[in-house]
Amino acid sequence: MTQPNANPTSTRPTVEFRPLKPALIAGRTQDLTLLIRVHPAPAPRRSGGRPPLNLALVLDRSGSMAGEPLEMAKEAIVAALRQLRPEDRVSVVSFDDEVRLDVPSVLARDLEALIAQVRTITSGSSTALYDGWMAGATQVATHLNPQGLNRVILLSDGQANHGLTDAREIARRVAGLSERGVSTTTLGFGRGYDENLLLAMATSGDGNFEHIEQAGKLPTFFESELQGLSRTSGRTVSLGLEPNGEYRCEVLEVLNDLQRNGFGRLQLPNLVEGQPINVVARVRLTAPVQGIPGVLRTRLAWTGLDGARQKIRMQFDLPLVGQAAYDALPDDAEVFETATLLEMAKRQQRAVRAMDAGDRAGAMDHLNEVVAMGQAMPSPSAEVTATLAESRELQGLYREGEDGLARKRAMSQAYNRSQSKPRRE
Amino acid sequence: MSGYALPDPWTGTLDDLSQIANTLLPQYLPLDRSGRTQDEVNPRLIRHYTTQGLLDPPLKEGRGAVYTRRHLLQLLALRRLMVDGHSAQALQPLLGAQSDAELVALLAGELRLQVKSSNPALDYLDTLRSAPARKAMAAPPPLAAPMFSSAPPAPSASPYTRLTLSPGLELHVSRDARLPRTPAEQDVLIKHLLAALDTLRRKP
Repeated sequence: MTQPNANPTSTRPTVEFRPLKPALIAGRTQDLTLLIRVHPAPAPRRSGGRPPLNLALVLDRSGSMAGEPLEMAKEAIVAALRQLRPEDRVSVVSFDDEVRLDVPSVLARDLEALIAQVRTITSGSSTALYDGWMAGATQVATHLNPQGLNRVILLSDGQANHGLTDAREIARRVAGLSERGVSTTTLGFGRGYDENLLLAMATSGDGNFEHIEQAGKLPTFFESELQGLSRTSGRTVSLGLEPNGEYRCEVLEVLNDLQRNGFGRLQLPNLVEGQPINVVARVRLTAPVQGIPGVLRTRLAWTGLDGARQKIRMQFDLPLVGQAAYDALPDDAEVFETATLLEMAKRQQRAVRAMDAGDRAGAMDHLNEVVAMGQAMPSPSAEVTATLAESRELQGLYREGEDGLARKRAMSQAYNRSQSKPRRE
Repeated sequence: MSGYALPDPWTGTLDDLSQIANTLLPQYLPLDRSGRTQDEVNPRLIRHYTTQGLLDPPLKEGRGAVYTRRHLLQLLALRRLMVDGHSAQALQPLLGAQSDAELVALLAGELRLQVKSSNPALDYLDTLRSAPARKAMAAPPPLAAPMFSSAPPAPSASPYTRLTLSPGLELHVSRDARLPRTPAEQDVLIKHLLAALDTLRRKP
């Protein structure tokens, strides 16, 4: 039970425990850095491949999208349509101050007709983002497929300024729908969208959030969203950390910025084949004295593609050793790196909060610290190098007064890190 | 309504069950459906329902399978509810849990089955749409367990809206009528409507 990945053909996810050091010091109160890695199971193979998709593509056609952005967004939708299979369902909604149902939900059979319809979308005026989401959600919900993947994918470059605009209320409604089987992904495009709203929609919608700066990249993001969906084996995933009270263990903090559900459990991203989820926790143990103490148990729960809720519990134990033996143990470099990257993301978010509060000097201090942490890494991996480059670019943007763009980048990078999203170029 | 009574007690083979169900079924279906062969059951269909958990398993397995009055009641109730547009999936947890007396009352129209919505997402969006203001929106209620209510809701005095579908053809819709939302529900309604119109055509 405690052997991770013992069975690579398992249809259930596995949980791997990686402590920074593989032992505890007997009789000493100490803090432990623990990497909890969730390995998603392979997506079920069906005769036709992946489970059927039931999608709504919701497109902002407000005035600000006029020109290249709208043309690229339409091409992105066309690229997405071309990836669908005859058993998939898709609808296309576009919105400015009015919502238009460009393609009511249909099976993806006559693709050329759908594509022709998408190409007729033209830009309009203001942004009824919530109404657009509702229209897409209704298309998906009408054809809700408990054995399929039901998702609204919303692309916007603007602020919701028409209809319901309260971000918290919109996110609450998105969350309510995701509990009922329809998830939401949001794509924020350009420099003018509302990152707070779109991030909140994606996190409460059990979907993804993407920050996209160049119109030319839009098709790639639709493509990867669809590929992710086709490799998904679990949704509404939660991870409960249950420290062993008998040994007076407590979880001091979780480095990932993850929402908690009503039971205080961490809400994880979907289980996608080939995308392990890294959660790092700091755990305090008060003077363990004998035996091999069970440090904590995890409770991983998810909704499978059959719509059934499932859960597995795993226990994590560590042996007790003397101080000298402990000191001789090496650090696990991968755990150290994962924890450091999460710490960097945390400080990046602090920089955003400082900027929001008008504290430019404080924000720059946080960013300097992020860069220093990256530079101090003993043998930087490609991931560390790329992250360091991003942090330096952020510094540059703030220096040049590009605060709006810097904020979007910083928030999306921190989100990607907490969600263990694979880097994409 | 024809006067075949429900036998009590009753036991028989799979073929017997199929036969007696087809004899009794028409009196429990809406008038426009009675006598339609597509509503009839056959042994294969009954076995399918059993494997789906819609009917209790027979007393003995295999070729000597014995069915009882309870199986008959479950089968009749199932067909009746499916004609009403409920999916087998939604009915699956229901029929096994009801007493024989409740099944009889259901067939006699004295009891209404409250089937859990098979589409919670669409119901939820409906509540969002009808929510007048943000504060008035409580958290969505947990999905209620399927249950019988002891009586049908009191008829409401709400006025009917008249829609003209084509010259000489009006549709009267009460304010609390449940309108079809999914393609499956729409299909059922269209079939009902055409079947009802068919009865006019047959009259001299």
